[in-house]
Amino acid sequence: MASITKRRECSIAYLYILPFFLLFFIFGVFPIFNSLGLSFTRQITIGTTKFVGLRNYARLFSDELFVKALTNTLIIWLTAHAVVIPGSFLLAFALHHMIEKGSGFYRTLFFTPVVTSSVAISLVFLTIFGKQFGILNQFLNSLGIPIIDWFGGRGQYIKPIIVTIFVWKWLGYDMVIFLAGMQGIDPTYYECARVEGAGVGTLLTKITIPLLKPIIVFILIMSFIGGLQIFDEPYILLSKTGEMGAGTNYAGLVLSRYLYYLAFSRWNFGYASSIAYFLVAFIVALSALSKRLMKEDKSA
Amino acid sequence: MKRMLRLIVLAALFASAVNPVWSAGSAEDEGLGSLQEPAALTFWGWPTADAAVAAVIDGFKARYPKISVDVVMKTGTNELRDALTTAMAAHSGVPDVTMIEIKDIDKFMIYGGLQDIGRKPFNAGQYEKDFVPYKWKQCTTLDGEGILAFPWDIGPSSVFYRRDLLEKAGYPSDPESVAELLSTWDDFIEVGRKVCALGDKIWWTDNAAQIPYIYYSHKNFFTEDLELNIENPKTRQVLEVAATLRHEGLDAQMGLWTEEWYQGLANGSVATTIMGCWFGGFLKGWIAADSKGEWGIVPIPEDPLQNYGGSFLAIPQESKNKLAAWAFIEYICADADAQNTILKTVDWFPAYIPAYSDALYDEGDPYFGGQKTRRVWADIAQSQGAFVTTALDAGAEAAFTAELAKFLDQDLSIDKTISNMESAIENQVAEEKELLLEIMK
Amino acid sequence: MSTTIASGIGKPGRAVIHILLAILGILFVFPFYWMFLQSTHTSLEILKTPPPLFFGRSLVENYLAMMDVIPFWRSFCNSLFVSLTTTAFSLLFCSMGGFAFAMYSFPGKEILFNILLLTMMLPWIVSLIPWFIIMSRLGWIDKLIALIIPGAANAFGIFWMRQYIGGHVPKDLLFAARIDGCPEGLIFFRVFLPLLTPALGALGILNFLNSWNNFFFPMVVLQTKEKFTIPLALRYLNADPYKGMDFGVTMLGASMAVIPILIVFWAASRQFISGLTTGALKE
Repeated sequence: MASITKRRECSIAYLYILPFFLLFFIFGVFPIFNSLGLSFTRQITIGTTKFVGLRNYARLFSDELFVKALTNTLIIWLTAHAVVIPGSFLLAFALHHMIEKGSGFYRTLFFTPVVTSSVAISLVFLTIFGKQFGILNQFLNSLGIPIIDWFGGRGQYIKPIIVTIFVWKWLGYDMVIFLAGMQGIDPTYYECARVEGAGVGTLLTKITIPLLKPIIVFILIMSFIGGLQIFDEPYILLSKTGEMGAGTNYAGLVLSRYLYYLAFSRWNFGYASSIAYFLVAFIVALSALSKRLMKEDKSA
Repeated sequence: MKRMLRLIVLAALFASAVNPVWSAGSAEDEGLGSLQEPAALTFWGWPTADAAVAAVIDGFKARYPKISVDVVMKTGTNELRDALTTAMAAHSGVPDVTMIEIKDIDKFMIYGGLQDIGRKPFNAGQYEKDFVPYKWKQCTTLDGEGILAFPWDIGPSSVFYRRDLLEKAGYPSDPESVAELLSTWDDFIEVGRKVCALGDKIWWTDNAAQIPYIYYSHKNFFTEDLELNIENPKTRQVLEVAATLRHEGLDAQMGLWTEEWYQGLANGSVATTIMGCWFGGFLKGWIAADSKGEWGIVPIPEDPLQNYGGSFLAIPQESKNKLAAWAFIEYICADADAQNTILKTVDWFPAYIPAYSDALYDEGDPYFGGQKTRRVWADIAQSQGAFVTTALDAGAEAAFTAELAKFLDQDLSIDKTISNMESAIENQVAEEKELLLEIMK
Repeated sequence: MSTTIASGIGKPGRAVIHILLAILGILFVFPFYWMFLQSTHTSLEILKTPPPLFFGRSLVENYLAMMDVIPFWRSFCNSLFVSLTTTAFSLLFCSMGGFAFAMYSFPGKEILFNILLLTMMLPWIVSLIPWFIIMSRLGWIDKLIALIIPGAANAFGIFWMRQYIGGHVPKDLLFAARIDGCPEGLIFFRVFLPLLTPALGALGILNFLNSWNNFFFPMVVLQTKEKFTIPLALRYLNADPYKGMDFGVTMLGASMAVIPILIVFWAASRQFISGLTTGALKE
């Protein structure tokens, strides 16, 4: 009797997961492994590929542009998160602990960019950072400061612009996550500490931050996955700077943009796939590292 | 975790076994079809090819009543290329006739995918003498045997200049005098200084990088044997010219195709721009439609034979109607009336030399103050000289323009820049070069 | 809301915090203001020195010019259609799957779930090239279905649904439903599905927005203007070299793409925020 129920249970379970896994294997899993296969090949003619072993991977670090794209992506990711993570934490702290009214309003306000299309946002920032006629330069000019060629020059402003947009867009997201975490902390902790005479700083470092550690790790992992794949903003902002869309000195060349260029403008599908897999390895390693860090803290 | 790993390895092996999803394409010379049976051609183009085809389709239908043409418009040259790439890789939905832009022709030269129309029964080779020589070479394989695409339009380049600004600076503004005025690059700089002196927001040219660029717009990077060939006196000279313009503040440092650039061209703050002839249609059409009579054109100083842009028509190998497709291409590209009708309709300049004898080329264009611009461009296209195009040019161009921007923005030395360019280009095209050298053997 | 610390910083301190927040708020709002403002001016007006700082009168002119370049409402409907259908499929499949993972045990459950978790970690760009080839093999290039069907297979959705069901819905309900004689295959629909409304709402918002704002995959797969979704239409407005770009017109397009979402968001920000931060609060 039990085994019959068991079997029926199983078949029902399979039936329930079937539609999902059918699509998931075709559109999710298969492409992932297929591109792993592609990364060991090289195109000979449009119909045929040749197995080249690890050649594509070996080429990665002798390719200046790949190194450039990798460092750019890392710099953008690091600086953006160096602002977003502490910034969103402080904002959440301020909204949760330091004001009595209006925190709901600010929460909505700071979260607004999150729901906005990155294409629309990039277009707006493009008009803000125009050279001869952009609002920011006009403003600087009226203060007597010489205008800045935001997307030209040595390309030194390109990454800061991308970081600015990134921070503007995602600050509210991390803030809300921190806020939710803070709301989960029992207020009596703070009360006890205050009775013992602890100041704001002590409360922050001794109670809030340690209790939010899992949330911080979550935010970090999400940021590896999302931030290292940044594409839309550089793509739109730099679309007028040539076939690779990278800006002067390749200052705005990011990994996913380079991959796209290699695959579509140059038909180097094998090499492009090896870049994709490098990115995978990198993200997995970083995520594992941050998980381990959290575990060590727990045992300590 | 170990089990997971084993699973991943297995799946990857499986996936590479089914690879390539890109299985072998159909053989050459299949799918000829017939001119006697009704055929429906699919044609892919980018704006404004629909208007161009519409203007001449009646003539084609009169000659080939059984062939119908379905014009599918892609939104731009890159979108068309990406779509074609996919369709060819997947062996489905490949058009019978497709446009190919000059910057994308290289990939087909290297990786194939297009029907060689030099062969029987197409015999495209018979038209060689009718086309502008450099254009013909661009669609011919390295060994000179195969013809992978057929020339449609070209972009003979010129200096577009604002008559009013030259006049304000005390110069004559009619094209003959200006051509003389700007006969060397030194003259070009000298005149620029005076024009820039007119005011704070007035620049002599849009971007100094255009000058070295025009010398290398999909050409001249390599010799026929694929030896890198950018270290020469001319390169040094034009880099010098560009640097002078930049350092003296004579160029507006505007990015091409940006809003500011359009604005600068429309409001009279930019006095010259160096572009292919198709740009005339852009200026007239929408960039500066109000500036009728303000613009003129002259050949590029010192080296008039310059080309920027252009397109081809080609038949993908997987077409099932190749004969009909060829009839269509022949009609569009190798017929003086059709070419000139298209020129009138969308400003796409013929590569087909017999078209130039039409009276159309001696009509003045009111937008350009009555100048016979078409004759000027036709002469430019047939000027003396030669340039070398190879299938590595597109890759080289990306590296070249990046180094060029660096040169101007960071004030690098010319020696350093040329050596930077050389290593960047070699790095960029390494893969393709290796393949090509194999093919050449 | 806890004010345990706030009470310690006093009124002046709180005033300072409010001022800082207000300044930051203005910085956050400015790009939106600038976008709306520019959409009411012609390009010529925008590029004047000094630029206009208040709304102008060229809205209609910009609108007509925009409609000349892109079929905006067509794109709007495409986006709406894709987002709604993707979300509907995804909610159905993910809740069914999540239910099976949470309530049943069956051979292969572990390994399937692990694959799922693993793929969630991978960057989407990895699958781009083969994904693209599959699409053309299926003949889905330049068809909206290429966005809808693959979009329904959302690994995160099924993961999160399992977590939600496991955490919020007692397993006893399954046994109770069986005793009541509900056919096994219908238990999910009759008993569980109604209990999942909050989770479905949150996941639905997440899916809808991701789909609405998605740029990369539509860019790769959609090729003709008639098929464009909103982000592609916007990009076309900016990049079309045959019509030229116009600040006012582009900003109008951007505004019109953003405004519907903003209205819904401000009306239901609580639900939105919980929807979009869904993954963070449970793990």
